[in-house]
Amino acid sequence: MTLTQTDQPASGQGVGVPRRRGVPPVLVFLGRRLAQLVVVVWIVEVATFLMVRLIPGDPAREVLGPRASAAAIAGLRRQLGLDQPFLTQYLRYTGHVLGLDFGTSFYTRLPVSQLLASRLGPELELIGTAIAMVLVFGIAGGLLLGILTREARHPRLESLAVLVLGIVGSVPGYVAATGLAFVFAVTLKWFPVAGNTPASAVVLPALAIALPLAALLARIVRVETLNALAQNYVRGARSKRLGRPAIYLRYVLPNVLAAALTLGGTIFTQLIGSAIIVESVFAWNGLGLLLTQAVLHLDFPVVEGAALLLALIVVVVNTLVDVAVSLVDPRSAAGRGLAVA
Amino acid sequence: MAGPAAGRIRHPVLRAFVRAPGGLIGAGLLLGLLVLAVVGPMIWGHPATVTDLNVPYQVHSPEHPLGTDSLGRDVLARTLSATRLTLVLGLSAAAISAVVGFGIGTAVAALGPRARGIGRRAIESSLSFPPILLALFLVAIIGAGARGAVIAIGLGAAPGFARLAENFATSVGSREFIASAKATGVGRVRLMQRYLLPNMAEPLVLAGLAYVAGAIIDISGLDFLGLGVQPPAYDWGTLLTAGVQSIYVTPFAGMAPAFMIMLTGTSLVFFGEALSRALNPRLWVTGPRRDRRAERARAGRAGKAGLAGPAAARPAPATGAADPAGPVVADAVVADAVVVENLRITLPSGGGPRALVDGVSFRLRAGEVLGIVGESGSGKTLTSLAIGQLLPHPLRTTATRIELGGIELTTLPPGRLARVLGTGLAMIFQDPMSSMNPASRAGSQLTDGARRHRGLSREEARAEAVQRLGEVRIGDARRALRRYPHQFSGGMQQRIMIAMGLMARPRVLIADEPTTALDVTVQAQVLEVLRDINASEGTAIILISHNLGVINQLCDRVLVMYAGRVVEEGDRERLLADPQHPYTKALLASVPVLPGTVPSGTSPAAELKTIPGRPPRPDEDVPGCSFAARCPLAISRCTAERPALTAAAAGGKVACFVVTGAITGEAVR
Amino acid sequence: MSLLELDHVAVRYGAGRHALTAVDDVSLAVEAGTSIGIVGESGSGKSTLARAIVQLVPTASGRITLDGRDVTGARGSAVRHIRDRVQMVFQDPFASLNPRRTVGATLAEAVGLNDRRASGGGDRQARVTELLELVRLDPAARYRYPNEFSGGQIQRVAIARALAAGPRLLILDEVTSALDVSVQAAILNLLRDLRERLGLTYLCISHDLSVIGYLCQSAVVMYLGQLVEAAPCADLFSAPRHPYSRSLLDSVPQVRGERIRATASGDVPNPRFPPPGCRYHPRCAVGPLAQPGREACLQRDPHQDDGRAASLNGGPVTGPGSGAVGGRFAACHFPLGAP
Repeated sequence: MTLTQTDQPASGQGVGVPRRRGVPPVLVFLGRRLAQLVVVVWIVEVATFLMVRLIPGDPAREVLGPRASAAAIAGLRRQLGLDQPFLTQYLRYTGHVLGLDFGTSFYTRLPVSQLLASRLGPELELIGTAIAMVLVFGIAGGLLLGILTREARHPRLESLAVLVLGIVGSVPGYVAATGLAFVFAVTLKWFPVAGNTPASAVVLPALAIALPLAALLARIVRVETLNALAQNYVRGARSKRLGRPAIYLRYVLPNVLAAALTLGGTIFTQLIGSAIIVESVFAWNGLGLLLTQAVLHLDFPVVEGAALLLALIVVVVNTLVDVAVSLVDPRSAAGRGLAVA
Repeated sequence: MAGPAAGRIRHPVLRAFVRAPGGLIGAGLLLGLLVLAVVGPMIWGHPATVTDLNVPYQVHSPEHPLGTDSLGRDVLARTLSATRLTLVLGLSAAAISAVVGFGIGTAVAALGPRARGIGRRAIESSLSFPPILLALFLVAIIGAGARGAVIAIGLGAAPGFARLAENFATSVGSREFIASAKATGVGRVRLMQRYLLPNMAEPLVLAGLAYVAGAIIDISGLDFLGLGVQPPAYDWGTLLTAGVQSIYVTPFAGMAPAFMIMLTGTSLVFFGEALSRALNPRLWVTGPRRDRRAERARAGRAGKAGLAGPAAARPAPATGAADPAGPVVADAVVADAVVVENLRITLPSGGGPRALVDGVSFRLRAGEVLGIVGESGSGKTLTSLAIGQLLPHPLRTTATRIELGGIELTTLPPGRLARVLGTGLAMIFQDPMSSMNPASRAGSQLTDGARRHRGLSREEARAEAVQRLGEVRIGDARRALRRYPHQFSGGMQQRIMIAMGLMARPRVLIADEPTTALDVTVQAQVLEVLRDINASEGTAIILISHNLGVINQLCDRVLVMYAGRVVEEGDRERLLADPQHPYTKALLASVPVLPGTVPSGTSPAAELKTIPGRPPRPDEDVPGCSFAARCPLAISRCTAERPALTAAAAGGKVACFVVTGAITGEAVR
Repeated sequence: MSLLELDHVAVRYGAGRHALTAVDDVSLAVEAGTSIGIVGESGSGKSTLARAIVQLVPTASGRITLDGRDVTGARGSAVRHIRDRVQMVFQDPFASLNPRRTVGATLAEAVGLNDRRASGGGDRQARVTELLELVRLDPAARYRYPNEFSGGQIQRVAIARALAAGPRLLILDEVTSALDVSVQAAILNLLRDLRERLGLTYLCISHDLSVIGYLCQSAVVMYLGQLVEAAPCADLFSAPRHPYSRSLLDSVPQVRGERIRATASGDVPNPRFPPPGCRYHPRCAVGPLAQPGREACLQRDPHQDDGRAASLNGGPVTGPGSGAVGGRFAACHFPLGAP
């Protein structure tokens, strides 16, 4: 191809990325992402509210039990504001949410904000650890495998890797959880079986969440590493005789990261979903366990609050990933107006 | 399993599939699962429901190889017959995801640009909503049970599929054959049916397979929460849940369904990967599955010579007529920049190694500019890569000599090799836009080689880089150092690559089609830069090009390559004015000349000479002259024997019996 | 009456501040039976112009008249009118054919869509054979897929497909740029031959001046979306008027001849931010940066001096202004060789 893309102003040199007057590109970019975040969270809020209301069953009856009188139920419904029209309920709800008041749990009569606050810490601990594991195992493992299997050098290793990663990746979260619990908690007694308390308690649940996703990420990273190694700029680096560690770390890794994180973007969303189930297995007092129990009890306020908070966490994590990708890959950053001169 | 059988399969996709690691395993397993799904409930359906309260929680027995569950039912039978329900549910959920996702994705892709942007953002936002949450809600609304679970999981995963579908639709839609089909008048419906869908089908099917595995797992997750399949129906998920609860008592009850889930997932993975390899021609592996036994036998017969490394075959350089690299020059006090003798590059394959470059010898004198001319497949790029010791994996090199500045490269230990090449040789490749690391700044890329091999400090290296950039006519060099590659134009990138090469202070610069991707006015500048470098620093240059005009700009001597061999060599002016080899002649006659320029004896109105036929493919073994099949002068000797590069009376060297025979007066048979 | 007339045609991508004007106010008239070349480098807009003619990209302003009929923003029957008369062959041979269909199927489809004479399947197959022979391919090629052919052969198929509609004008967009030299020669010969046999009109787009010289009688030079010179090829190559044309010619490396000089300095600017005044002035060897006193180049775009059409048949060019001399056209305040 002889047609080249030029990207320069008339002076024949320098940057050709247009900038908004006076505003540094970083802020423009962050501003846009923040706006997106707000929109998504709002949609989640509406969706949560609606869906909760659509669940068949009567929470008042659920609370009072099957033998409660109709009058008592009606009374409780009025008390809980369940007799108002949807729109009123929604506006009241949103108003409270903005004031960080999530109402009172139907089931436990405790303020929902208090419940959420107490579960937020453990949730972040679990998710944070799991994310770190996914990134470390997935990226390091994928990179290593990519390097080893480049140019179809070891087809048997490649088959083995695909097999192992495929198996680990197809293990359901709770199966991994149970298996890990059985081996490491019950049999070997290295870690506690349930609960949050000793610091090491986070290891098994986080591992259960992280392993299948790390396997998935490793597969993606491996393919991206193979792609990167086939690129012209790696050949250029080799022709400069830079030595393998320098080439892998400075030429391959940054380019792999950007692509892999973009492709693996849904991994973090799945991670939170997996956490919800794993928390049940390990009785980990996070938001997921709270949510599951609340759904079973038709405890609307808690369901709304927990769902909203979880969705918020997902959106924030995804935004952080996007920002990280932009920092690592200057090209996509420039595309979004985040030119670094 | 694969080797010889694969060789007999004709259809390329099928053959690639069989060759891909795990393809046959995956396909076999999936087939087995499908058969089980159909047949399972028929055989084991009834025994699976037989309760026997006498033997609950049995671990193992002759009648119940995997034990029993809480109601004394046979675990093995239940596991096997649950295959159908599990697969049906999984496929249904994946189908829902695929259909809904495909519909939304392609609809968004078909919109105008503004609406498409909004649609895309909507899809992205919906992806942020954890599918399991959505599934929980949907199940709560629709009601627990298989139907609810399928719909919930299906819809929950749909946004992911929609994004994929939209990406594929957009990328396929922007490919040129769509535009040309529209220009031919293909209507929208037909465009969709015959052009878009078939080209999207493969990646989408592959993605769909992954979604099936995911759906099975997600549904079993809902089962675990009690929201999925309800008794008396049972799928692997419910069996697994029950088994997990009694895992300490009856481990098999849980392990059996877990194993089945993993087996399904694994076979889908294998099948999917093999399928994606098979459908992407670029990933087809050409070499590795070789017939090792035959190879060893052949090696034994051929002796050490053919496949052994150069160390075993390095005689002392001969003098005089026997030296294929030319007569030793008496005043060669300064070592030649590059000496290549008997270079042969082969690609291992099922039928024996195929030679891509064969018997290439030449020398580049210090400060000289040598041009290598050839069309695609001539081996010119491979030759340059061989000098730089950069050939990709399956290719093998053998040579009597590959010397850089008098130092033999093939026997050097890696550390020394890196130093010699890092400071002695610089290479510039064709496509400047992809030759720089997009993730790091120009400055660091300019300086890393020099800092490593010449021990410069960061400041020293940067100062020198600024100077080099000035030499290649890039203004404001200090600012340029801080920029990223994508911020430069193609011409500037190529000049930066030249500057990068110069940082090593090489004695040799190899430029492989350095200006092919550039505009012609920019090309002129880059060629001038190369000329300056040669003149002022005395850097020897090997310029590789298919463009004879470019060769004429810069080179002192020219090498013409065809099908991996050198067919003519000589002084530039003479060779271009009076070519000897029939191929060189034909090549020169096929280049259109600008009217109004120096007359070459042919008027522009005359038809261009074309060469009938086509070059031999690498897998075609040509015993005689590789050009004989297309040559107007070919005699019988040409197809039997390979002509060696010999001196021609007019000057230079030619590999042609007819030309050299005619000159020395040999009888033409 | 010309076969094709472009009247102040402009093509824009994007809108507002970030709009890229790929083709800026181009007027051109092409007579039937002639062969016109469009020369330019990246950012010149030549490919965009070609695509605008066949309605692959929309025009932002201006009028396109084909065989007497206004086909700007064509819909419905106007599209058919275009298709019957104009067809295009693209640069990348493999990208322009559907990889999932055999060559025969693609050709049969093109015939079926465009050739009213070919009514049934048998007729169509006969026509396919005819087309394949026209481009000197073995008719048995119809059963093979694109990836089984070489670049040169696929380009012949693409030409055959374009001819299926029986067009009068063929637009050739860099059709040999992706091919080896010897293969290029065969395609160029074929194209010359076809033009004579079928009486076609060619619009050849290329960055390679030698190709233009071989195929075309006249040529226009484009730079950053504007037409800067129009002339018969012989005149253009021996005595160009516009400094950019001169530098293009100076830059073409010839096989036998003098060493080239780089007379254009710097790189082609970003088409989004064209220089003020004459767009070529920052690189011009005889412009304000090289010769003091030529401020006109900085202040006035030579195109503003008149709105004229470049007619390449030796007929008079309308309008006064710089450089319009006897059928030639050069948008320059100080054209080369002018008194």
